[in-house]
Amino acid sequence: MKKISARQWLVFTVILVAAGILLLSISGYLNVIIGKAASPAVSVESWVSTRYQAIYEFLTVPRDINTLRQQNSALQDEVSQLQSQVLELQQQLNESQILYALLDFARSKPENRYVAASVIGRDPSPFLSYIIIDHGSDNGIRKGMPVVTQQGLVGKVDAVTATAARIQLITDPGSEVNITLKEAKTDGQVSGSVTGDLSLARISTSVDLTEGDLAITNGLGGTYPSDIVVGQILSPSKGENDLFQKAAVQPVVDFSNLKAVLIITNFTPVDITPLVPETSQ
Amino acid sequence: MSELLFYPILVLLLIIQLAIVRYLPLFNGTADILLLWLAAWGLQNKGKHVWIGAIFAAVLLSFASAVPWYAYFVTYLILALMSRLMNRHFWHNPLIALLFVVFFGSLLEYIIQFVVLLVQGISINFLESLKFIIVPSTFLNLLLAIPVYVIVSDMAQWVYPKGADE
Repeated sequence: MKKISARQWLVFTVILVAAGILLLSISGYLNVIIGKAASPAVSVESWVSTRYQAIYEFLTVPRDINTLRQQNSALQDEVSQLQSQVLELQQQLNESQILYALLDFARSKPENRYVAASVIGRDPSPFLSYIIIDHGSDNGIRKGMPVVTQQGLVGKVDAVTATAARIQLITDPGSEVNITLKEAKTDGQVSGSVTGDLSLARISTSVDLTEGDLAITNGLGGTYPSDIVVGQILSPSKGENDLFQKAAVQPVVDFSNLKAVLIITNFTPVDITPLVPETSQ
Repeated sequence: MSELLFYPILVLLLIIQLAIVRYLPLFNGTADILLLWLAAWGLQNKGKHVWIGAIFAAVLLSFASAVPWYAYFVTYLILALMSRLMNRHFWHNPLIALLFVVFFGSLLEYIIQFVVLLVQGISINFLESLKFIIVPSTFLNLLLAIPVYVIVSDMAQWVYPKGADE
């Protein structure tokens, strides 16, 4: 029998060990052993790596600050751009909400034709309550046309250029609107003042005025169409020797926050001035 | 020629007046930045062209306002006269001159407007106007007079550099 040499024993042992390791590895037992054996090495490696990272960051930190500053400034720019976009969108949203409300109002009164316009300014004199709008004769606007919002009566067109118009508000001291009180079923007149307050005039003392009664245009005088809401009666009062009662009128339109208006373009105002007797002027 | 710069500024001031200043009331009164600008301009040593500025401002306001045109012409021409006279006699104390011109110029402006509207048949209560418009507007004008004067002075130094011929 041939004797097995030491070299052959070595090869055999290596193969056996390799097969054993392979079997242990496949069966999963080797992971536990490797894990236990590698644990100190991992700890050391982690310690070295942490120190290396710290040293690396220490050496490269100035360059990173510059990069961060650049990134920060770029991000700040982006934030301010986004903020301005948000503001712009909010403004557009507000405008579209106003326009939708005006559109609803216009749809509710299909007999009228409207032109919508934005308010771009006010009369420079503090004595007068006029606004300036961004539509003029090019858009079919003519002097005397009534102006409304979805809430109620705003005023009438006082002067027109090709691209702009001036509107006399009903709160102007020179404005007078003929109205009918809905509950009291009587006619009267609502006048403006320098303070922007509305007051009711020419209501007989025999009429019972109730607070909250609605004043709507009656169409008399031919300046405004009928059935447009003007305001509500507040604090009516009558003196013993007065011919007429007095009352404040709360306008339904918020004149301090007027952004857009509708001009009724198919209403032709009637100028009754020649018919008024001279003595009463 | 360099004073031509003041005219586009007056147009800009009118836009600011209509679109911003009129929306910032004290009671019902508001400042008049065109009046302040003209007063400050007239008080400059080389503000002799304030007359043309006053007429130009009056023309602009006549287009924009429902107040009759002559009210602004009278107001601004008297204001220009006042500011030039004050510049001649109180040149060493421009602050007093400024406050004097702005105070009396404002009172004049609002009283003229009040009278003109009254003559036109618009029923206006004087006490109400005094309380809610004339006094608050004059106060606002006095409040803004000094900042406007500083801006106009800086601009005048730039427009009329020292040593330049008048």
